Amino acid sequence: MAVSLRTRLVVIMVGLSLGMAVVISLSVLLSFRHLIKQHLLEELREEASDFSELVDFSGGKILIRQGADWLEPEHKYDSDHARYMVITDTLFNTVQKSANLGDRELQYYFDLHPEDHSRLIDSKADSIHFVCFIRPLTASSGVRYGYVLSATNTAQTSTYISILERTSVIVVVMAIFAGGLMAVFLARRITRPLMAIESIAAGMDLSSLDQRITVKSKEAEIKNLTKSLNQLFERLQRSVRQINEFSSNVSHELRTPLTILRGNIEVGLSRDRTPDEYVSLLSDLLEETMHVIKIIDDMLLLARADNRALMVKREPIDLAQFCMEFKKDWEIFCAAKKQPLTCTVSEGIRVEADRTMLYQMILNLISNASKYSPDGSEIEVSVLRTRSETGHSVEIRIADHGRGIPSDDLAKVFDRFYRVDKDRSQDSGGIGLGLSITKMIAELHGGQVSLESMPGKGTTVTVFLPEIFAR
Amino acid sequence: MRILLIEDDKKVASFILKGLTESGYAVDVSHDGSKGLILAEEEPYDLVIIDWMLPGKDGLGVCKSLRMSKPDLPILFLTAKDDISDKVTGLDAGADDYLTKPFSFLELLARIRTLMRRGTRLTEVLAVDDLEMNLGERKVYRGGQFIDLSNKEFAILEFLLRNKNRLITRTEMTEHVWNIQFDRGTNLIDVYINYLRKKLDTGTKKPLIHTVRGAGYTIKDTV
Repeated sequence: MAVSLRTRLVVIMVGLSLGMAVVISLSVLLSFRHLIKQHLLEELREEASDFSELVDFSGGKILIRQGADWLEPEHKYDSDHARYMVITDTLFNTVQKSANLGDRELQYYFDLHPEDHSRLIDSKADSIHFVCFIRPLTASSGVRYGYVLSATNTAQTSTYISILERTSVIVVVMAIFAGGLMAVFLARRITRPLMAIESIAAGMDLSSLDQRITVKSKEAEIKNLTKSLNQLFERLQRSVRQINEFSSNVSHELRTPLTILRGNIEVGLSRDRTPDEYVSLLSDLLEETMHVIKIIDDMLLLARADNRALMVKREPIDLAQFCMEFKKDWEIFCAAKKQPLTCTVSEGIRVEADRTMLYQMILNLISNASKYSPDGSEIEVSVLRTRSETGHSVEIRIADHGRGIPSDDLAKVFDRFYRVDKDRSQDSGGIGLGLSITKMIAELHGGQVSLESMPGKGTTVTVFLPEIFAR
Repeated sequence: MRILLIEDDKKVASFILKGLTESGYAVDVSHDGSKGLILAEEEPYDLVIIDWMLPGKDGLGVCKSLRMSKPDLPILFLTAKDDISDKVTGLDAGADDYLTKPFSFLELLARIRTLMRRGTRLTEVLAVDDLEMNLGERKVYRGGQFIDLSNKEFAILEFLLRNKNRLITRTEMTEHVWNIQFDRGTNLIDVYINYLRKKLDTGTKKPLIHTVRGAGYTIKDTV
């Protein structure tokens, strides 16, 4: 199941801020505790050291000098700031203790062992907050003769530490809260444009492809996403428009011949006819049927090429031989208007092409040339080799001296179903796919088509194909 | 009844022309929008059939202009476009009816008859006295007796019946029954009226077609 990005962002950010708050608080807390302990140790060590100065050992007896040290307030009075001092013999029997201890024996609170070094000892019972520093007393002979114990009440530092602990908890809770708030805010900020984009994209269908995403965002990622999506919509819209235009063209192109077929049949059947009338009717119907078949064939050819489902059987073709072979066929298409067809082909030019397609393409162009030229005007096919920076190419030119194409139409002649003569006069028999097919075939062979025309003078169509050389 | 067909596709125009002529209509064809419009404005057509896609001036434009100059002329639109919006556009431009290609020719005939009788009577039967003309069946009866008429005779009788009790001049007759190629110098109308009289009035006590000397003809049930 998909978790929403917003939830995930909030969880991640709350987790991160929690983790960071905990780490920072713990390290502050621990180092503070360590510092306090260190500080206490130093103080107690100093006190112990000061008092050790008061002690002498001679003749097996511990002698203690009395003085101002014992009378200082922290040794005299019991309070949170009190320093308890005890001087003991090696068996921890009290020799002298500070006044603030009263009847208490400091030794009871601690696990004391004869030690050869100074150290800090925590009290035995958890409920009594004392720490004690123990310092051995050593004579100049090196004999240990007793200990100085210096202790203090840790109630106050415990209070400090517990305040610090409480503060840490509050800091952590606040961090979670602040992190959460920030996470929600950021997640909103990030996901808001995404959700806007999503709602537009989700509401989009074929009829509303003209919609565009208009999310205002300063973030480059969102901007780029919006731009890419809008470009995608643009391309989709263009393709859908093309498909719609194509299918409406198809339906329009088929409607006319079907109208003719249906109408002729209905009128023909409306009364008795002579056999001659029937023959003429049937041949009209046949002609129209062939027209429908031609439209469907051409459309299928283009559709297959569009879907890249068209098989191109490439083989090396010598164009001089090719033109020789098919000139007779092509001449038939010019015969009706008594138009002479000339073929000028340089020797030895070879292309790699599908024979049927090449034939079809040249035939299309010749038949176009014938259609739009007056009776008796010459149609010239020429094949020549041209050298350009990009390499060798073959030019197949089909030139006529017909009525030409108005310059307004030049850009559109390769569009499907586009016809220069808008009256769709069936005299020309064209369906507006010839040049589209020519272009498609040329492009399938790695070539291209160009068209030049002078209204009233004639049209020249040039097909460029890559040349191949005999191995 | 005279019909003008404005259709650029010659094959479509050809079968409509043939079918309508065989059904007794006098049909002129124009392959161009602007020329068609001029023709429609000059000649007294009873109905105009217009194709949408036309060179010169498109069908919609022709339709709109014609609506301005001849508001009562029935216009039938032909088109390969079959969207509802296209139909609405066509009808809004002033077309009275709309047929989508490929249409049935019988339907075209039926719609032409409907448009022709619009504003006159909501029946397919024209009658005077005991003479009845069934437009749907294209049959004429006198006193219940079937009378076989040629297309032209039928057309002349239809025109007379549509204008019964009214004087129809020879000019009116030629304008509505023959197409534009008709040579007005001939006495073809009188010949056809003679044929009709023979078929309709022979053997009856009451002739229905009357000559108004020097002016034209009329059909009426009272002498």
